[in-house]
Amino acid sequence: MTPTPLPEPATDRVRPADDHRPGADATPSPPRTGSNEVVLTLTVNGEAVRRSYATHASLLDWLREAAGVTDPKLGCGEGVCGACAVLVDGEPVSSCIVLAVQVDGATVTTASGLAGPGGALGLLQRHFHELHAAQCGFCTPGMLVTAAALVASGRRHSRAEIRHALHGNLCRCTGYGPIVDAIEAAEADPLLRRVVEGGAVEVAAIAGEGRLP
Amino acid sequence: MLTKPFDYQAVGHLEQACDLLRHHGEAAKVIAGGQSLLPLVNLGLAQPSVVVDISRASGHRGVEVADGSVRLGALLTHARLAADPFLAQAQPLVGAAAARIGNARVRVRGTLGGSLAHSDPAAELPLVMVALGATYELVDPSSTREVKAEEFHAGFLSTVLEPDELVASAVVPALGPGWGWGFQEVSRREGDFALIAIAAVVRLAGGRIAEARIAAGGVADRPLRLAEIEVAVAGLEPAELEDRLRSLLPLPRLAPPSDTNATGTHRAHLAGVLVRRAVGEAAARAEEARA
Amino acid sequence: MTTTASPPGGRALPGPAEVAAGEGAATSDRARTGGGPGVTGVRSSRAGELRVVGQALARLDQAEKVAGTTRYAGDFALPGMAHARLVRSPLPSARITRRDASKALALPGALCVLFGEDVPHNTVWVDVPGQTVEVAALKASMEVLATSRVRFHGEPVALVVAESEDVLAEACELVEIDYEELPGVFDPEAALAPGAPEVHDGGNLLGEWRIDRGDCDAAFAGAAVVVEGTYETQLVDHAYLEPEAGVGWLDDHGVLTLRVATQVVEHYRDVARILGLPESRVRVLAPFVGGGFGGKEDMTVEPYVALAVLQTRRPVRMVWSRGESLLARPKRHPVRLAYRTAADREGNILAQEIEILADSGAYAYLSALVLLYSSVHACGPYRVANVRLRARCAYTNNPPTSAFRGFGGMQVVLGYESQMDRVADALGLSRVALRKRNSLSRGDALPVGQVLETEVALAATLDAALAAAGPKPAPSGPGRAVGRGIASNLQSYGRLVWLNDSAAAWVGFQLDGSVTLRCGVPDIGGGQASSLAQIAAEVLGVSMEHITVHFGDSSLTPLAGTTTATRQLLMSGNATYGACSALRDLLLAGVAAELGEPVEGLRLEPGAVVGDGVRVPLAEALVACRRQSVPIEALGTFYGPKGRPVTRDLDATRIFPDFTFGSHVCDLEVDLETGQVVLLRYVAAHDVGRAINPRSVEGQIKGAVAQGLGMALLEEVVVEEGVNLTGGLFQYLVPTATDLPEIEAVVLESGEGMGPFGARGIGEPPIGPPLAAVASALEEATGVRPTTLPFTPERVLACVAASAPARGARP
Repeated sequence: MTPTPLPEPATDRVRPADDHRPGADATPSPPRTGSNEVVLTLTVNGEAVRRSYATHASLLDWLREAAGVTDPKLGCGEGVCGACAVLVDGEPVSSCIVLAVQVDGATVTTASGLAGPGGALGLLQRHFHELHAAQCGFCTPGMLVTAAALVASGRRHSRAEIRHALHGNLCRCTGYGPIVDAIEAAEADPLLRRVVEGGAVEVAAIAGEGRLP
Repeated sequence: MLTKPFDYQAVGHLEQACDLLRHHGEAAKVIAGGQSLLPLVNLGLAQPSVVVDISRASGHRGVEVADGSVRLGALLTHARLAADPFLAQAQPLVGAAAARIGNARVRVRGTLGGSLAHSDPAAELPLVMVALGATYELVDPSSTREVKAEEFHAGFLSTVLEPDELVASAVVPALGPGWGWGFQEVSRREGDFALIAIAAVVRLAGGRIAEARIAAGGVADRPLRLAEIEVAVAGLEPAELEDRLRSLLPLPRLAPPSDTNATGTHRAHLAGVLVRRAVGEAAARAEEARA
Repeated sequence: MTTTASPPGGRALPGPAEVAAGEGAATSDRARTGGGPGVTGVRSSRAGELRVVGQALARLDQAEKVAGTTRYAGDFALPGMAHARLVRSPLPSARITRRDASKALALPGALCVLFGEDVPHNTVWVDVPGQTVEVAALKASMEVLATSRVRFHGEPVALVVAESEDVLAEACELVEIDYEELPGVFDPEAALAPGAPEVHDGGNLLGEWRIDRGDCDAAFAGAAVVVEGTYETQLVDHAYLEPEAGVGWLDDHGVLTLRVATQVVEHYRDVARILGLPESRVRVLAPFVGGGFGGKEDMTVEPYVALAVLQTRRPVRMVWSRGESLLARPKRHPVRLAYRTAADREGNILAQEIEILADSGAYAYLSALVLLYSSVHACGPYRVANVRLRARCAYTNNPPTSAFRGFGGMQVVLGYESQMDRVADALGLSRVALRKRNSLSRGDALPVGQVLETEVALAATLDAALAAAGPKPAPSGPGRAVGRGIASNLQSYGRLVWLNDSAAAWVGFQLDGSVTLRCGVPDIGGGQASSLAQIAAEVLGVSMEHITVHFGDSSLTPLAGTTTATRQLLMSGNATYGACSALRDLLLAGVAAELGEPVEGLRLEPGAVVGDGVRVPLAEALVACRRQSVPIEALGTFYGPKGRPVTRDLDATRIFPDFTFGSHVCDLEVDLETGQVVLLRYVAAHDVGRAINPRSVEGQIKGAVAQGLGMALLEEVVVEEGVNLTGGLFQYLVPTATDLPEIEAVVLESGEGMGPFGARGIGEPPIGPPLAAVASALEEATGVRPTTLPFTPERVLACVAASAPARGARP
């Protein structure tokens, strides 16, 4: 059986191109070249990442396209929805409206950086998992990061306070209740209580029980 | 990536930024936190060819309290303004307003100077600056000058800044003895730009309002002082405020704009309600402070 | 013969899936009428027979989602990947006079620019090929890329492909398209007036349905009370967090493969038709979707990515910006409703006279079907013997409208529930009692003629919701008023019965005892795949962790149909149940043959086949099957109930498989000076038949309520003269965590649904009542009922002002 031939390109408004089917050529085409690239080094989820990439790239683009860290998402590009939220030096920012070049040298934590040792779910992730705080999951990385900043304060918060802390992160699936449940449970978790008795903790410490003393 | 390429230059001092602005002219845009400019860039509403970054410039991050006034560096973030204990002591209205801006991520990055220079008519910080009668210190490559907040905000997203000029700091009077402050805002959702915001400070003396400063955001193309209301409440006891302010409705000479979030009529109505609440709140705080 | 888990109450399911799996067909009149022994109505507790089903387990997909490792459509990249974007019409109604790509193509890095003439078959089909029949005259088709005429702001005109996103942005700006503006029409009523500009040749009436049942005139003439009301709903957007996205490539066999955010992998057929390819040469993969809600039911990026791949012979990615998503993807129909309701003195609803007019926007999409749903659901969960309904939808030059959670069944809740409140008030009766008095029951017929075959637990949902809500709170201070609203609804689950709906699932044991499940279901966030695993775990006696679900692949997983219409639990759930039951029987047969024992004495327990004095561990049982040449895999196909297509004048014995019923209670506080509304508390009770995973069910209920509350109070896509002014999420007001109250979901289980284990669908039903519950609460707080959505502070203040003289008159 011979497969039907694919139709030829139907227009002359096309530039000749090589066959770029995956596997059809050994070397992928080079990354975009030319003007306006800059080499930046950021510590992303505990690892130093050095990349040359477009100078005008947002931190979100840099993470996703240059560093291959795709858990922060582009939801709006306006800094409104929170899907792109990451921690820069421990503080939450909208990575879609921060230029990567502005935070050269910074320490960036994304949701995947909240995992425990060996990729096991971290403490906060575990409570999100158990209490169905993720449905479609697209807002989840940003929610986790926002939650991490809150939980790292070491204080236990009322549900109203948790909701207030989340108001810059949109979720379209859960109605927020299960997310509030998960954060409440994480703040009450004895493992966390043990390390936060002295007050605020490093965000890294809330990641996994393996990192807790 | 939504944006088109632009050149990027970071500076160590504000004056260097002014030099670059003079050199590149209109094509250049300044960012500090980037929380106003970069959304516009992503939405395709701004296309700078040069971005001058002052976020790592030295200085201009201080809260200096002296001689009854507070000097606030332009690079102070909203989060710092909201949390600074010296500012909370000396002029709590500023921090209270800053805490209402956007969301936590905006407050971490956004700066005082950025908000003032962006000059959104519904933004919180320009409003409290106008209410407090703040003075801005502006710098250009070779000189500095001072401009009153009310003169600085010249229209919708428009200021008296020259193309090569930057806001370096804002100076506000400290909240003196006998003074109280009020801040009232209504928005469609928490953190959205206000439909209407009212900032008020009043001074009580002998149980009566001796002095009041009131400003409104969202009522026009820039924040406005409500001088007629200030005059009308002077001499009143706090208990008389409610009736007096109701008698002034609708507020004179206000014609707020309509947009997809509210009609001008609704905004005008809200302004009347929130003026009463803000002035009442300020008077109550003043009484509390005295007690 | 089998050890099928029986539902609580002792009533064994008739096992439609087993029938389907074993005999290849199911009948539409499955034996569900009459109740049967042990049916006790509604229970809120689960009995103990089930081991996995009914447990609030963590979902299979959630671990990766919280770890941040899920690869959504836009997260995927391939070497040599190019980027594509659409150039869209800036005008709502215009003739295209010139298109020139030469400047764009001159840009280094620009790969191609396609216009409509470059598309092999430049037409988007709006049905699901092979399943639907024509249900209303679809006079217009839609071009993939407009060639001579644009009919809405945002319509695609050119497709641009470039090496990088940077080049793409510039190339798009360099594509020159000239337009000559044409008169447009922006209101459905104006569109139907004589002389209105025609959006398409042949007039602007796109669809029309009528119901004429009983004798309305006589009923109104003899009524004790007649109440009238008009209601208006707004244009709203799905606003899922994940904008439309996809990556396409040619695989090594020349199969065009699209990995896209979609609710419908079967769109591979549409893509094949557009490209002129055999259907077997197009494959659609649906990775986990970042929210659908109906917005990814119609095609979004699919044809464009496909065209770009074929033109460039390279992998291509297309991701829509939020602005594009808000601008150009079909939205929910704005609807105008006019109700006249007649009742007797005791509160029996005698008649409904209903007019519905919906704005379909510029293209047909699924408008005719959405309008059909509105018509069928228009009288709500109530017995009404006399009904006269006319529903029409019209073309305009507004953004197109199509599927959105609730699918036309949502908007009408505002109409019929507001009318119920008004009738109760007019007669001085309790609003709750009026609803109970008129509630449909098993055996009653809907106005379209369909007889309800399963339990209707409406009264129980009302009682449960009110009990959970407790006493109405007091206002927080002077100048504030608290209101409580209630609203009930029904919503169909499963597709229209003449669409020949089916779903298939394949399940097989691996030799180590783990299970592979293949099902074409797209998982759009509701835990669709995980629910299938939970069903399989129940039937096959394995734990969830030992089940791997492959889903959403139009070539390699058995097709399961669309994740829409609240149908996947019914369809794929039953298919999976059938496949697993068949596999279990095979396993028992293999062991029976090996042991030389009758199969009737054997049953499958977790980890072993067990009989009288016999226990064969699963691993050995599987080996026995191999030795006995008994397969250890099975395909289950479930066929939905069937029925005849309807005509314009609706009169059918069956339109939908079944319905889900629920009741909501909303407490809110109004600032009487500013009109600002604070939602205090919200309770939603639904009879879900059986909760496969109660926490997933609660998630569906809470999320749907949240979306309904957003529509009630905040959301609107603002369009002026066809120009869409809503360009971002800073303008489109999705409710935040502080806008929403604590939402409590009350899950009732009658065991009466048509899904596996007696489950009913729950994805769409809870989105209906919030509009009406909020309206009802606002009426109580302000004294006047708001009728135009969204209920903005401004409109709430208008209610306050209008009621000022009569405040406090209502008991």
